[in-house]
Amino acid sequence: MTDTPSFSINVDQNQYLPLDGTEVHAIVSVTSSKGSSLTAGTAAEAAEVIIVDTSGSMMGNEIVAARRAARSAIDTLRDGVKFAIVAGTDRATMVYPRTTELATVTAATRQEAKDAVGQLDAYGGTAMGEWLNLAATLFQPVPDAIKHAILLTDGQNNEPASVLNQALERCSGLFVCDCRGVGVGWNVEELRKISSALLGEVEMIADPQDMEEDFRKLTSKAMGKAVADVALRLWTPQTASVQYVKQVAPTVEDLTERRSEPASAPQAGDYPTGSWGDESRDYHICISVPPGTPGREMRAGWVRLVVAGAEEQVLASGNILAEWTEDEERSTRIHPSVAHYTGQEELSNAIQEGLRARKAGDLETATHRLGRAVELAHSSGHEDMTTRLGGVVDVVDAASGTVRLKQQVSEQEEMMLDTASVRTARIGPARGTSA
Amino acid sequence: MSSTNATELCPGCSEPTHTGDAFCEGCGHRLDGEVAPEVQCAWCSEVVVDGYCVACGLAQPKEGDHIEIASRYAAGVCDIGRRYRTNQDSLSVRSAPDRPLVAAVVCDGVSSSPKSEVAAQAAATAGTETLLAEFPSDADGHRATSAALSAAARAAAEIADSPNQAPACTYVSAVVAADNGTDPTAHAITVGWVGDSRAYWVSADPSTPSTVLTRDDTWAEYMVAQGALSEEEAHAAPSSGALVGWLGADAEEINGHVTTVTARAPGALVLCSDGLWNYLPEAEQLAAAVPDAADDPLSAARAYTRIANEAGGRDNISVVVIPIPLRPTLQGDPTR
Repeated sequence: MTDTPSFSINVDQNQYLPLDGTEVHAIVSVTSSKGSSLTAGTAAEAAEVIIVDTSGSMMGNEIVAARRAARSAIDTLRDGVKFAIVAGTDRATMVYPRTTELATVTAATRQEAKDAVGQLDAYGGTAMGEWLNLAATLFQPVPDAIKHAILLTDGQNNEPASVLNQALERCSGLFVCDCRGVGVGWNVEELRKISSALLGEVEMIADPQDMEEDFRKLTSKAMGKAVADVALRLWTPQTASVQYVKQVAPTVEDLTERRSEPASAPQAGDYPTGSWGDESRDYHICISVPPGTPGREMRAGWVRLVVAGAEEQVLASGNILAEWTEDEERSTRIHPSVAHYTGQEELSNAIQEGLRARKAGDLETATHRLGRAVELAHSSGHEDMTTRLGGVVDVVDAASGTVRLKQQVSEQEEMMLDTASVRTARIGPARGTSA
Repeated sequence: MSSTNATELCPGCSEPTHTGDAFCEGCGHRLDGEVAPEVQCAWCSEVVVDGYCVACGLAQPKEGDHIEIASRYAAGVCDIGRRYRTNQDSLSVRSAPDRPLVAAVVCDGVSSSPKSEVAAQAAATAGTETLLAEFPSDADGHRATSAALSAAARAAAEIADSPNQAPACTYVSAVVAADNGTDPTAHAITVGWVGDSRAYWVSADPSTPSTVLTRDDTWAEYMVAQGALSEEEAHAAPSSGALVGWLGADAEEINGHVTTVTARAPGALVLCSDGLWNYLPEAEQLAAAVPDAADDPLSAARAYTRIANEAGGRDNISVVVIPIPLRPTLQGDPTR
């Protein structure tokens, strides 16, 4: 494949361990950039499914904005891309094309699709599992394409949890899905569960007016993806075990449980990362190793980026090392990147736990956790998060994390903070493009 | 920047490779389909790829991390120690094939200079070669030692890419020969040195003391010799251990020292770098640490190395043991 972007892996770590040290931490940064020869027209085959919630609650401004947003997304699709528009209620209905298949973008189909979107009406319930199942069916004929879906909703799922879980199990690994919640009637944890399982991101669209621009950006980003089904393959020594693999930038996403073990690579596990365009992501990897002797060096982890397929391709690789030393000055140092992202992971947890406690009426825990979040956001220079936290707490002293819970908090502020909680600050100057 | 004839990515490191390349420029991975001889892991016997074992992940010992030399009349061990990533020490031991004569050199590369291990090795090799070549002609240990020092200094200086990037090393040499006089136990020992690597006489005779034969080229020793500071004052100063003499292109003037002693009692001559003597600075300590060092020089050199490593191995360790009177050792390679 000549149009595969070039990938590079950089490993930040302090490889030195004390003699009884058994935990190796590393921040693995993966950057992909498309070659300059690659233009939009020659990119790999792409497929896009746009799922618009048309349940009764969307009536009014929201369905109007959704129609506009969907049209803008259709305009952003490249010629030749396979696409479909799905309306979601208590079932999933094809909007364009009318038959259960993907259409190919041309000037004509683009216009037809936009006309069809104009007919969208709001009525009925919400069955996200059904919607995702239809998307999976639509994507089936194009297994090799870069497959992406957008799921727009304003409400909560009324299916039994098991139905959604089954759908997620079926769809996982088949396509990437970004979720968008509009208004305040949807459930952050529910959409996070979907986007997390499908390697996408969830965002809140507070003002329906912003939907159009958001959809345009989202589709444009999807069109920028050049390689799909990339796995992070982690080899570890027989004596070692993987503690966790987490994406930590641009968002926190624990991949530990997503491990699969490829038959072709002994002692290795594959962690899915979805599709890649011009971007950079960071992963925090923690590996347990046996205690060592001074001066002994070990390859504690061998990270490779692999594209699945008939012929597996290794895009980049890097080593996570361990070296035991009696020199405490060396072994006690924590690499700044590891320290930074450890803090960002805690920040994300502190916000989610704080908000959960607040909802449950446990104000003491809420104050404590959100205070800790303010402290971490402040010390890591995560200004955006500091601002968002200010919508939920009054900050007395950011440096020490002293806060008071606000008496009146709009549901919107709270949901925005919850949605954004997984978004991390980069260490130092941002590398690559951030989403 | 993309290279136009890059065709494939290296299976080892994923760097682009070029058509026709036999090896990857990035990691040395074989690309021409030839199967490299399988290397077995030093720790678990599995296969080694890219320097790491495919099963246990351990990096393999590098060439030069641990060197043992068993010559006809002497033996030496050079070890990386426990703190440094590279072994910048070097040693050379050579025995004459036709008579009881042995030459040995220990050099300690100065870690703040690049390529110092190369300088150390060049100096050590040049040193013993010159000692063996020069000594037999007139049996003058002093002259041969001076000539060897000069040869070693030239060899070390030649490694430098520029005077600002000059590799440097210390140097201590010994040439030992059975005296041809009336006393069959008498041996002439000539020691030459620059820097802070040392030579010790380790006595096996209770009536003769063990003693250090060299005087370090360090700031403290220099200040004491100049009468500027007392021994205590000098050694308390933070710069006490700083070298004032070394071999290398940036050494302004080589002030080598040469001393000759005659041994009339049994014992061993021990040459070592500070990686050993820092743990056993006094001659009596060194002698007591490995009793009967003269009986088996290789075992003794290994024992000294182990002691230094167990004490922390803060530096590279080199030690040469020459039993006196000279006698062929069991492990000694008769050709070296």
